[in-house]
Amino acid sequence: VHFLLNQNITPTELGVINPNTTVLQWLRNNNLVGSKEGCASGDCGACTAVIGELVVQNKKQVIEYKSINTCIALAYSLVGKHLVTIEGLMEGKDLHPVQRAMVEESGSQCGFCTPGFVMSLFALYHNEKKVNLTKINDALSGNLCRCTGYKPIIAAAFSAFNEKPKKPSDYYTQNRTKIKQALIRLNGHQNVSLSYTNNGNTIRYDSPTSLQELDQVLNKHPAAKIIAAGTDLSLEITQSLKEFSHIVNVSSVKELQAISDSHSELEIGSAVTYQDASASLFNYWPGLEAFLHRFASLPIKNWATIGGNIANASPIGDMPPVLIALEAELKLRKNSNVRLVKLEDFFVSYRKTKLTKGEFIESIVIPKPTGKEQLITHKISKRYEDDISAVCMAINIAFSGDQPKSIRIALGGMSGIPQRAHQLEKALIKHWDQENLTQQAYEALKKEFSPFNDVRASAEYRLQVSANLVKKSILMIKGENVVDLAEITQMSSFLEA
Amino acid sequence: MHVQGNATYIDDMPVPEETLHAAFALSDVAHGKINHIDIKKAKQAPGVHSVIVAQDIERLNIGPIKHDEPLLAKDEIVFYGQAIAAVLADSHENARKAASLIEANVTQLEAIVTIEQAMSKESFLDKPLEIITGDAEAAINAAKNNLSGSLSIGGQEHYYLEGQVALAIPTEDNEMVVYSSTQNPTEVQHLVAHVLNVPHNAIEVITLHFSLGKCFANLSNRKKSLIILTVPGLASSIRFDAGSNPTNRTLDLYERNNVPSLHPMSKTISFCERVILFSIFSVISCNAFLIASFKPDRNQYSSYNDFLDAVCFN
Repeated sequence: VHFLLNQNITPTELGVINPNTTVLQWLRNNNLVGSKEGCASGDCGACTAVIGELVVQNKKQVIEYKSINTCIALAYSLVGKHLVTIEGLMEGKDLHPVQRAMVEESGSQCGFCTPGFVMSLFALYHNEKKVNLTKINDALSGNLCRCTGYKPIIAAAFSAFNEKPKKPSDYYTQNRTKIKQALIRLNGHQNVSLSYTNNGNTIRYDSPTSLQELDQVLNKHPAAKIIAAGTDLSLEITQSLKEFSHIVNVSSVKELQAISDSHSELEIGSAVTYQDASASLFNYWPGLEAFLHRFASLPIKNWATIGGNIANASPIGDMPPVLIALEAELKLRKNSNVRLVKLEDFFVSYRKTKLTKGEFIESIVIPKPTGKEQLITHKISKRYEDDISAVCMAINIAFSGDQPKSIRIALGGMSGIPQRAHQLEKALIKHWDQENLTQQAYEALKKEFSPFNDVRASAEYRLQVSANLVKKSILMIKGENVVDLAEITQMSSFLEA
Repeated sequence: MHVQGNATYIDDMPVPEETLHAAFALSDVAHGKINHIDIKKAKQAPGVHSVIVAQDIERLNIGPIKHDEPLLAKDEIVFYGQAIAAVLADSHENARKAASLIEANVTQLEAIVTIEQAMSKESFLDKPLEIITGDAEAAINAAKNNLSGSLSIGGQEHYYLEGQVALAIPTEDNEMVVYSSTQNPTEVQHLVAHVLNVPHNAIEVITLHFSLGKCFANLSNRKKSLIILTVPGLASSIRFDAGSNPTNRTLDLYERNNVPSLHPMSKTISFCERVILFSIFSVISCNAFLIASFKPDRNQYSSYNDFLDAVCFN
């Protein structure tokens, strides 16, 4: 159980620790206290660090570096990877270019969020040759600052890139080959299986690397908690102080990381991260690019998996409504037996799914669009990039001429599960061209949904906004110029408008 | 130091051996009468040193101006998330786990949660404070045109990044050094001194890396097996640990539910055409009184809405 830490080429050993330990807890317990804990739930980004992983790009093995939230990543998921924290940026007495830029642009005030911002900027600096405001905003989407404000931090990003030399300019680019060799050596034996005992209490941890190994582990321990990235599940550890007694980490299972693009279907392995799935998804559903921008911050998308997002069965979830609208099916696997279940039938009731003990999601199968379909998605939330939706809506319409032939609508945040809106679909076909469509949509929604009141929205708001979103969708389909207020992120463009 | 990750915040500091860690049991009702607090289970939980309720604290009441805010609720709970007991344990995690075992028998009372409810019930914090210059009412009445309306602003949580944390180290002669993630070290000093019944100069308060947090302090004194918790602005809260620890942002927010700067405000306002005095009594921690005045030229505005916009944005 080794990983590479910062500029240390000698692997760092995790040893036998409580498998429920997060990366942040491990760091802070080992006197690396530069990464801060602000929220312990992946919202604020004060704990951001960068993780490097061997991947195959254009048939070449390379290290891919990405920002993650260490507060909700398990320490054992570091095995075989390279972790770069705020302590690993300086070279001797010299600041890293992004650190220098933050100082020069006065990008820090109380300083508590600063290490996280610096690490997000480091990932951006490492991965991009040139930047624009969109790329910077995307890179900083998981970081909150409460005193400086974002302007000097964005200025720091620009200024670091203005002075970026063409040749490798920091330790990690200069020593790429050396780090790669060290990672290759570490990844020779990746399968981890251990148990930790404390006060007579034993906690098991397994991280299989193949489907066969995973089948075996789950066959033997069907009650084990399956974790992929844990961007939501870890909150049970950090917020509710729960302790899982057996964790099976599926994120290293090779087969679950595959994307296969066949004639009529796109099949995405359940452990594929959102960031890795995005290119294939955008290829067939370009509208999802804007949706995934709203879905979560970059550090979350870098780590979170599609399978975990579905199996976790949040009533909101954001991607499940989209996949229901796209008629996706799940390949569920248990003891090497596979069955197909429609995603819209998968969710039974609040946090309950059709998964039986020891069964897991192998992949998500999405039928490709035939060319006469249009997918429209909406997310209503308060924070732009990293928030739980009040309402999430996906509408997939197949057209015959300019009239809808069939409509599939699914909603998140409107019920205990991500749910298809059959009544609304019927109403929409019937009242397509009518003036009072919003009212008809509202009535149809009311028949089928009894949303709840909570801190995000009232039941009435949820119903009304959903009806309004239907109207908005149709205006968009009819080519009307619909201004999306949520897209106006810059004050200057707002004033121009 | 900030950009290097070398700046030491209180949660980053190594703590002396045998430091006790405090966590609170919080009220899950907004208003109620406390009949009984059951701390038995918490006392027996692993690592627990002691459990403290209001009756254990001699100088219970604190406050930045009036000392009328109990550190721990005694007979009555006045807001959701109010601290009702404190657990001291050998680790922050053990303290939090034990705190979750505390059960309160509370008779729930009607809660006033909106400004409108408070106005109709005449439930005010104090007598209204009036600051008057001239005769505004007469001037408005005598004006050729006047506008009136109401203004309400929702509450806004600051969401400071560094959580509420403090470390108190007893030194010699009843003196104490308090590290606190506070914005107001002087106030913490005064309140800690008040609760401990020692002169102000016996308490040294150190704030590292000025943060947006409000003041919170925790004092642990092993010699007396006593903890004294002080918090200006009512809510008492504390967490501390040597290394990393799962701070809980939800608890963090609940524990400071009553900090006035988070409160929504509502005000009826009147304008007259010639001179507009637009005042907001802003209940920020310093009770700032903000007055903006300007003289609009009515010909400049093509509509009532434009005029209102100008008033609001100036």
